[in-house]
Amino acid sequence: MENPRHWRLKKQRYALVGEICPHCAVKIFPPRDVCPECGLEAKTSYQFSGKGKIYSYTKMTDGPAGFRQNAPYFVALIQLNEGPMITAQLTDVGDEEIKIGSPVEMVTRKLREDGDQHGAILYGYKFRPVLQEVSA
Amino acid sequence: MKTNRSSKQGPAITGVGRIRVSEYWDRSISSLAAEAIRLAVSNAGDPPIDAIYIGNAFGTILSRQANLGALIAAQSGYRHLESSTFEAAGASGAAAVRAACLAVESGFVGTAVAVGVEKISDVVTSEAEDAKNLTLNYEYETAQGLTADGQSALIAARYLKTYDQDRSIFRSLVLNSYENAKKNRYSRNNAGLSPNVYDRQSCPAAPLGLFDIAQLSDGAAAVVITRAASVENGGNFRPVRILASANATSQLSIHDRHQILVYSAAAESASCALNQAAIRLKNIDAFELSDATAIDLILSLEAIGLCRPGFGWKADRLALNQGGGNIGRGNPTGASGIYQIAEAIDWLHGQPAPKTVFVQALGGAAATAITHILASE
Repeated sequence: MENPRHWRLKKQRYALVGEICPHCAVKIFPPRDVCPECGLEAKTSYQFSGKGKIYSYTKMTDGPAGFRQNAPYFVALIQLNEGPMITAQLTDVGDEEIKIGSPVEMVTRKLREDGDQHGAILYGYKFRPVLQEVSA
Repeated sequence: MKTNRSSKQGPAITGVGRIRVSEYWDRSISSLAAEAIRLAVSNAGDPPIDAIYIGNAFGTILSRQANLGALIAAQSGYRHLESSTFEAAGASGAAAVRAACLAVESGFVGTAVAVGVEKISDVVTSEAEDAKNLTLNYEYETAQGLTADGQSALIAARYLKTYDQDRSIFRSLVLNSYENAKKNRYSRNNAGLSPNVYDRQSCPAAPLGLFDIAQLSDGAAAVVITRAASVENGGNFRPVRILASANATSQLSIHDRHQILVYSAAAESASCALNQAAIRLKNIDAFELSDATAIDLILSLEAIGLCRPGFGWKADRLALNQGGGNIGRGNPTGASGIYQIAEAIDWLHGQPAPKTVFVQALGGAAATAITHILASE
């Protein structure tokens, strides 16, 4: 049961809200209130587009508590178009489609359940291959 | 600690004690630590001890036990002694050694024991693996389903892609670690590893295979540290000088790092230690480097400057991890930093004996790097 933590992180998990440094304009995710580049205070909110590329990935055959029943699944480092890198699961993919460098986009998916502990079902960002538009 | 010290300056190790890395189902965390402490103190000729610094990573969660300082000091037979815990994931033991160096050099403490202990086998394997994942950023890595092994796999996958290699580059490093561990009587594995078995391994976190990831194990190791100036020669144990002690950190999450393939904490800690000891890298005779996974060892070699970027897997002519490292010996996480020191001392006391050994412990995916440079008299 970590309800305060999940509540506190809702903007990051649901909307990819980070920060932009008012001094050097670097975009920051996860938010940390201090710019990792210039070291000055950076509390201005910034919403990321959710578009990026796969920088690296691995297939998890065993997960941490709360994720084991979903294994195997893919976890990747995603380089967001705005600059920062984030760790996230890949979703809506088959084994053969994943390549380093492939474009991906954020979607909201179920991350985990609290098992049989009657806790919250946790939702948050995952990334899927960018969908191609189909003409009508 | 400043540079250019004479042979009687700085801290020195006057005794070492350790138990075999294994699974001790019938013993507690305090019993393992107490045995290592008593062995080390006895090895040092039973000097009076003023402090015990404990390196431990997972005791609070795996043994459900906090305040190990009071527990372990009492169990070792010391009443009212200064004692507390240092935690830096896989570098916890090295953090305890550094604490002992700072304590004796400050003059507040005459003789200190640094002990590293880890007790993995109190819980089932999945719980132990969950403890290992505590070294990740919980909110932005673990909450996405990443594990510590998965984190190393992300680094390894990018390494292979960047340098256009495949996972066979881990093979000789791992087989060599198991070969070295055969000669280490404190190693969990003494039978070596056949290439056939290696080649048939499963891949729990591709591209890393089962044997590319060091096995979590129980262990306890301790060293007695005092000022070199107060060491009296003539005992059973030939004292070893600590020429340098340096701790550096980088971002905990690999996604926050500018260059994922550069272990910047390892580089910074190494260069700081070399400066302290006033010694050049090429004049170091032997190395004990951290290898929670094979990619850690490769990127350590590159960060320290022993191999060019992209060639860390080719370090076959280097005097490296004589005791088998974590991969060969077994990985008692919070104790491994002191096993490394003990194995460096084996090296300094061996034949042919190197004069200087560079020892570096890593915590997490090289988020913390603690380097010690040891020398025979």
